[in-house]
Amino acid sequence: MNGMSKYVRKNDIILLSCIAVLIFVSFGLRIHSMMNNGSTIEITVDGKVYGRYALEQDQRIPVEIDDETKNIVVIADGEAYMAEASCPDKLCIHQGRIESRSQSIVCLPNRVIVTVVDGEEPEIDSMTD
Amino acid sequence: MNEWHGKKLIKQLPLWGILVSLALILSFIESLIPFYFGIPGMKLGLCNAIVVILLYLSSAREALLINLCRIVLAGFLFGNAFGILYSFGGALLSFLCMWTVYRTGLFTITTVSIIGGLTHNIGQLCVASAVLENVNIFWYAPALMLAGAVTGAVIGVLATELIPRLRFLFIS
Ligand SMILES: [Zn+2]
Repeated sequence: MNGMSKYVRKNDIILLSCIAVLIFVSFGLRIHSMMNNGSTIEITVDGKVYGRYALEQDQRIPVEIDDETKNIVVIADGEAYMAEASCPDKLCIHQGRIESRSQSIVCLPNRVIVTVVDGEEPEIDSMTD
Repeated sequence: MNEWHGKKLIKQLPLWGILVSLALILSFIESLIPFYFGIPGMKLGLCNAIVVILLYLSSAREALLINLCRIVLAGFLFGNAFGILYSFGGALLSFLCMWTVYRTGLFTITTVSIIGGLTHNIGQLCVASAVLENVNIFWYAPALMLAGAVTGAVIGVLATELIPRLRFLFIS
């Protein structure tokens, strides 16, 4: 080597090291965001927020309206679905599983909406500039 | 002056034809390689080899011209309109960056090529982000930068070997 290789010399090593660090840091940011990107579901009843629940945590959420359980939302394996509903059409149960941001399940008769929202804003700006 | 220019042009024309065809072949090979990062239309950037070689042996203008011809032709032959758009984004950004690094005269061919591969993918990503109206796809940037740097390094080593051997083609 001693700085005289035909492929890389001293200047190149300096520049390429900086680039390597940049790539390394961007991977770090990516992994960091994936870990903190605790996507959340937001349940609203009649347009008002009923509650927010982390998708990471498996749970059964009864949606109670007037002291009566109208719907049961289940979170399993990072996905949410409507497990039970008192509505006559059961369309909400057939809407399946949601996991990606801004996907939603709507139970029109009970006026229950489940939407996937971001737990935290992803730090996209720090990487693009 | 004009006559000289005309003679030079006629002498260059067959070579340009060969270079565009060569670049097209590389584009075709590229279209056969499944290189999927979740973003439709993204390409590996093998054709940067032609750009790097022309940058060193001919001129920046010729490097850019031949690459743009290649993109339009390849787009119609093996791609689609989105493909052309992505390729233009990648080609223009990588050309500007490679040219800048080349002009400093401080770096080897390999480094110029690595810069080209890396910025090629970033350019494509910028276009994809604008087309899909989605900034979240910038999360692909780390993987794409790494892939671009690796491709660029391979092409750089290849170009380092080829450039002295191809010099005779460009001596007029
Ligand atoms: Zn329902």
